[in-house]
Amino acid sequence: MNLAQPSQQQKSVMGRKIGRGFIFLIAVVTILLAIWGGLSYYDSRLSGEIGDLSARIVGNRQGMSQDKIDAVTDFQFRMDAVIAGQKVVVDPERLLNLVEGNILPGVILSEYSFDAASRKIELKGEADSLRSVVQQLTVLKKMPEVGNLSVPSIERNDKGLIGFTFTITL
Amino acid sequence: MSIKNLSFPIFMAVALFIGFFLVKPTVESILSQRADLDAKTAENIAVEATVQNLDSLFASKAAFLDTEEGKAVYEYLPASVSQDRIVDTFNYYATQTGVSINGITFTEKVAPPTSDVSDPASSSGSTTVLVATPSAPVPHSFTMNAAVQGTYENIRAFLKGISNPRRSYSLTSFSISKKEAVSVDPSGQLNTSAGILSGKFSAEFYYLPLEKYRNGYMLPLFASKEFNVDPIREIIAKEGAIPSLANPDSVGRGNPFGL
Repeated sequence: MNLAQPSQQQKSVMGRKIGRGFIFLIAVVTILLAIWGGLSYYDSRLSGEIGDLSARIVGNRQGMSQDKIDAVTDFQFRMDAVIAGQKVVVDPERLLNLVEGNILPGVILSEYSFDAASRKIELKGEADSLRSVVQQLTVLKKMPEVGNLSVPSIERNDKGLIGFTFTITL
Repeated sequence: MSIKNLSFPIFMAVALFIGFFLVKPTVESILSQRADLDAKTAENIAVEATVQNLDSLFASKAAFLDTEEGKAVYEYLPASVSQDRIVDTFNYYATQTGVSINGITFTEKVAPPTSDVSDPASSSGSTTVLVATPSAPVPHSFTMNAAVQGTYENIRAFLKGISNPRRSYSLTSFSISKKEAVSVDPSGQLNTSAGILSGKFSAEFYYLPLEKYRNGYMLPLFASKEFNVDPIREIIAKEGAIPSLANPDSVGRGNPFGL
């Protein structure tokens, strides 16, 4: 019985396997190197394109007047700011109209103040009776522009009139 | 162990080395370069458009500034505080409506930071320098407090007048009050005296100092040959010009301390 025969065959098979594996590994490394080479070439081409564009931009910019760019840009921004500013204008006449049309005959205002940040109107005044104050509150409350109406104080003053303070939140 | 047996781990190590230390950085560099290329392409398009349209835009601005609407742009938002014009306007409306101005004070607010990008901003990790488009500047402002007095009708008319002062502003607060006593006559009717009221106004007025826009050419504005001034014309058309009362008849006096 020749025991060496199968062993040699096994070695031959193993050698072929290793040979194929070796070639596969070389192929993988070669492909990776090729990919890297291609990417590097593309990278350098991009770099070149960026360089060309930068040179063209610098050339074109030298031909432009910075003063004119400043003037034109400023004018556009200025117009934009003017247009934007129109949207936030508070109309005091409209605010006064709101109250004028809703004050009762028995009520006299002593102070009207408006604060834009809080959108509050504070009314101070005097009325001939508590009933007038209540009626006044009811009328003001019905105004569509009124979001909230509070009454910080109502008190009879030394003239016998009812002094009041109303705060209207628009 | 034979070389053949070692070849697999060695090649794997080489492959990993190539992948992590050569291919990966190159891919990252390409991604960065592509972003730069896009930015540079956009900048180049902007620059070419600016070269093409700058002169005609500048001429368009000059032509518009010759018109009343064009001049009004700088009245609405002057390059300096221009408080004289505000006093002049208030005085004009006071004269027109019969109120008397008791006092005006101006308080300058802290100026907002300038919006201009003086130097091109470089993006981190980028090989080239990217240019940022300038953002709209924030107007500077100051607060004006004014005290006036007059009848209700006077103050109301005055308020109406100053609602459109040909100046970018926002009314922050106003109040109307009376100090006179309210009395009740024998018949029980409420009476007030002649009704002189005092009015107080607080408003924020804006101005926009001239700034340098180093990268202004990046704005889409330069893609067109002329300004779109229609919105400004609409605003100006709503009201007439306010005459200036600020020009004196004569100037100069030998003794400035004597009348």
